[in-house]
Amino acid sequence: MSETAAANLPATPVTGKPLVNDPIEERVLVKRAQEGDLSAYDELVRRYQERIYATLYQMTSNHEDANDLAQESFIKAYQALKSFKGNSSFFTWVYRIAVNKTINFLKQRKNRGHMSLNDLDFQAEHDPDLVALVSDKTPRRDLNLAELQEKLNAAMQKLSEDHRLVVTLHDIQDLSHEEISKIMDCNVGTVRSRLYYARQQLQAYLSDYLK
Amino acid sequence: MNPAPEDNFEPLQKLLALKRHETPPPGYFNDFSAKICARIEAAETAQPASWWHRLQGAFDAKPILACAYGLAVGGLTLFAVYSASNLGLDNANPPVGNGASLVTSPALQSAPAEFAGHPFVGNEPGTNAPHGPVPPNFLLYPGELKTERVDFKSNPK
Repeated sequence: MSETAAANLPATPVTGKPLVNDPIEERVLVKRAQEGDLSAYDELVRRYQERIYATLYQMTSNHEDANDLAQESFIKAYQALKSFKGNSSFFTWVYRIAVNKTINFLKQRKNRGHMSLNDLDFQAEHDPDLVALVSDKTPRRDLNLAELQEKLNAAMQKLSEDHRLVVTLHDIQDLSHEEISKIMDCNVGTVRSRLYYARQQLQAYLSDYLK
Repeated sequence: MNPAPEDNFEPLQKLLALKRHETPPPGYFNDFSAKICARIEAAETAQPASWWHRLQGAFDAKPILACAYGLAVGGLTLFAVYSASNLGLDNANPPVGNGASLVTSPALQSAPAEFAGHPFVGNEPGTNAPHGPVPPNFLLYPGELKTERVDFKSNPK
C-alpha cells in the first residue's frame, strides 16, 4: 500500500469530525514535533486523542487498558517520529502504531481480560434505534441499555482481534475500507471479507437481541 | 437483488451504534495530552532511549521490520548451527592420505628408539593404555628423578 495514496485521501467525515483537519498545518506541526517541539506534538495529540482512545476502548472493552495503550501509543509515536517521512497522513501512521500495540497487548492478555465499560452518554436513551431495540425486539422487555451494552461488548470480545478491529473501524468509527486497509496493512478485499465474517459471527452471538 | 436474511446487517449496525455512546469519564481528555508530554519529558531527562527501545519503536511503526529482524536472527542462528556442525565433522575426520601415520603427537614422534617395543609407545592417539602416548620420562626412569633440598630458613638478602 503506497503511502502517497494515503496522503491523497479526502478528508472523510468520521463520527462528525474530519479525518484530517488541515493537511498543510498538520505537516508543519509534525515537522516542528520532529525537531523536538513538544507544544506542536501536544496539538497533534489533541487532534486525535479521542479517536485513538475510542478505537482502543472498543478493542479492549476496558477503560484502564485503553487509557494506558493510548498514552503509550502516543509516546511511542513521538519516539519514532523521526522515522515518519510524511508520505502518509500522520493520523494513519499513529493509528497503525496504536492498533499494532493493542493487538500485541490483546494477544498477551488472552483469556485474562475483564471488561471495564464506560457509561453511556445521555443521548443513548434518546436514540430511536436503540430505544426500539430494548423495548420491542428483545426477548426480555425489561432489558435496559446498560445490559444490552454488556451483551454487545461480550460478543465483541469473542471475535478475533482482526475481526474486532475491522468492525470497530468500519461500523463504529465509520472509516472506509481503503482507510482500514492502510491501517491494517492489508488489501481492501481482505478488509471486506473480514468485515463480512465478523458481522456474521456477531449476528449469531446477538441473535436474541436482533429479532 | 435483495441480500439473504443472514446477510442483512442493518439491525446489527444499529445495535453497534450503541458503542458510539460509550464515553470516558467527564474531563478525561482535558489533561490527556499534557500527561503524555510530561511522560515524554520525564523519559528524555531520565535517560536517552537505548537502541533496543528505538528498535521497538520502529517495530511498532512498521511490523515488517520486526518480521525482517526475526528472519535475520533466525537465519544467523541456522548458519551458526550449520557451521558448527561442519566444523565438528572436520575435526572428527582429519585428512589421511598416502598411508601417512595417524600419529601426530610430537611426544610420540620423539619417542626414543629404545622404546620401540614398549606397550605405551606407538599407539594411536585417542586410545587408552596400552595404546596411549609415551608417558613422561620420570615414570619410565624413576631412578633419574632428581630431588633438591630447599632451605626455608635462609634469607636471600
